[in-house]
Amino acid sequence: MDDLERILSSEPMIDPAPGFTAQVMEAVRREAEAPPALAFPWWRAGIGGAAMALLLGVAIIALPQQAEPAWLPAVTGALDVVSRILSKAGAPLIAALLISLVSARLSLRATG
Amino acid sequence: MEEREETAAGPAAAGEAASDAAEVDAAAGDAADVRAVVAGDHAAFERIVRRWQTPLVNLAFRYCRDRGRAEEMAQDVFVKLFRALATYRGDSRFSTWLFAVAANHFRAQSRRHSPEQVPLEAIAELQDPSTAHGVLEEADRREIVRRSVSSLPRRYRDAVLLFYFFDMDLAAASAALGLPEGTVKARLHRGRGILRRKLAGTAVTGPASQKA
Repeated sequence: MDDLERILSSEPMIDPAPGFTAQVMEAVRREAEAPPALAFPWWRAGIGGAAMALLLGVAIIALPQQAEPAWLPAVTGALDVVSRILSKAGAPLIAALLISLVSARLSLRATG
Repeated sequence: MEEREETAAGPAAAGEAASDAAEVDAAAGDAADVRAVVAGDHAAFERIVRRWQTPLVNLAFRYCRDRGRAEEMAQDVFVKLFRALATYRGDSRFSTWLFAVAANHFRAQSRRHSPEQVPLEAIAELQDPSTAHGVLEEADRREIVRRSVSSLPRRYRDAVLLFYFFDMDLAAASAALGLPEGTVKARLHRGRGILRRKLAGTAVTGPASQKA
């Protein structure tokens, strides 16, 4: 065994401070008394996801079979105007702000 | 000669048997305490803390080299274990699980709060030829080795730290790292190689130490 091995394998041991156990148990007690963390609502999220998938499926199947509704040209025209305005006024920035605003509102609503 | 060997082997074998028995006792104690804590007896967790606090604080200390910080890190691990105790399935020994959780936490913490790493080249004594001929004190040699281990790439440092922490038990180091033994062995080999190259010509692996 060379010097390197000898030093690596004979590292001196340290003792925890006298109050260490009490300190750990105090932290554990606080942890035990703390209310359990809110679980993610998997059940609701699952139902919501399934409903969205179903809706999307229905839309994909049903839409091509229907004739173009009367309101569709007006809506696409309006969207076209909005997109032109956005592209002139820094669309990515505005879109990011809108998305942030919507997600912040949704988060506040979900937690509050 | 043979007689002496036999008498020498006697206490050694007895010591080994006693150590095995102590390990079995500790494992049985852990299992009982885990069941008690999961059943709601939080006081049983204190026995787990008392049993494992010294190894955990020492392992943390090897990562951060700061006594106070090592105790904080060990405390965080105990709280983490307390929270996760219900998920411990008992497939492996409690100590294996505990060290895997601890090593994972200490590695993550050391990534966030890296200890001050002074490059070996910056240690003036190493450049002094007189120190490379055996004048360096044992404490200085240890410090040089510690610093060079701290400056290893993380994957090699973890393998070296845990292998020597577990008294050169490759299986224990592998279990704590959650890696196959072959991978840990390869990292260990590479880590020691880097250390030897870094320390070549210094008082640790230089001419003075090679004589010893």
